[in-house]
Amino acid sequence: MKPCRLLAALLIIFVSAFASPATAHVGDGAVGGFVSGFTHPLFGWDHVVAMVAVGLWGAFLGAPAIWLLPIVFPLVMACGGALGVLGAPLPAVEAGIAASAIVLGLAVALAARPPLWVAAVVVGAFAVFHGHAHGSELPEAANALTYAVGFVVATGLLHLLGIGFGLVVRWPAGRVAVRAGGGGIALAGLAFLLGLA
Amino acid sequence: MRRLAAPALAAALSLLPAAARAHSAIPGAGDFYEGLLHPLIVPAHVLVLLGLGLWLGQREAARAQRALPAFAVLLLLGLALSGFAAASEPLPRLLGPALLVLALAAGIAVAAAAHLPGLASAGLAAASALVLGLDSPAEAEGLRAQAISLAGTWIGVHLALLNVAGLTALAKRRWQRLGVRILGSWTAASALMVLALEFRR
Repeated sequence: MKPCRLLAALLIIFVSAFASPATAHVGDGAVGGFVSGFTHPLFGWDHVVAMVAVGLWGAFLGAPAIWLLPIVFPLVMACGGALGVLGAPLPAVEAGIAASAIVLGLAVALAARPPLWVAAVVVGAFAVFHGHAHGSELPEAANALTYAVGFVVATGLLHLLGIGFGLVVRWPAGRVAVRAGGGGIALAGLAFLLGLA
Repeated sequence: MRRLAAPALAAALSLLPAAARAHSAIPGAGDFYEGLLHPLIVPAHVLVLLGLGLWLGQREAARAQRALPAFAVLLLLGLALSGFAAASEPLPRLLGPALLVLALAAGIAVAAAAHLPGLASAGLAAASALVLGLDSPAEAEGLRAQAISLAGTWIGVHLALLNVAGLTALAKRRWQRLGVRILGSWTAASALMVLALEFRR
């Protein structure tokens, strides 16, 4: 599949995911739960940039990382989410999320290609932080299950967005653009960490 | 076989007691339509059917051929006993976590694209069918209306499952099969966190 067609497909999926909550007519707070879950990762810019960076890094790491990532990340994140739901304390969650944007952004900017297990440990550790932050709010959701589905889907779509953008690394200009994007993400992470954003 | 199935369904459904509890009524919908839509309005049911449908469709027809008969029979049994299940203690409280465990198992199996023996597939399908059936008591008043509603649920569950499995079986290209595994991962991840919430309670 050509990158432009993949990007178009991803865009359609992303947009249609936004449209779906409005069309349903079910009770029990299912729609409300989904909307709050879906928007939770999207309204926190630290989450957004870190998740896009995960996808971008996958593009540099190449196969099999790029394809393992969207499958394994949600499961590891859910483990962090479960810890958050159970109230297990995790120190400096917000700082950890900001740090994830810095580290992942730098990895993209430097086009780092460590061994797969190193990348897996780094991404996995940050996945736990992100999951914990989302999971802590799950018990307050109008519908816990649709909240969980919403935030898992939103996070997954952010990865796919990053992967879609990352596919342009096959062109020299695209490689520069992706690395510049990584640099921007690292700077944004620094701003979050310092409380400037 | 089908001629036998209809009287068997009627006989099984006639065992139902009158009182039953359901998740939510759909205003304006008839008994049959309400039953038909039931699996689609309960998020946990949707998740189980998604996970199981992905699993059955992921590996050609062989997996589904073994699992679907078990699914059909156990769903019938579960629906027939759903009225009793709703009235008993503590079964209704256990059905929610059971659904999440089943969705988690199916989601992980799909995400891993695991090679499991046929018996495991049939067992997963049978357990899912039984729990789905038990958790779908009819909302309607009266035996006849309940039978009609439960028949609708039996059909609605199969329509949902076969649609997911059929669409999944169409995924032949590499990126499509990857998409199936991603959906399995999302299913398992969602189920896992809500399962943690159930434990907290």
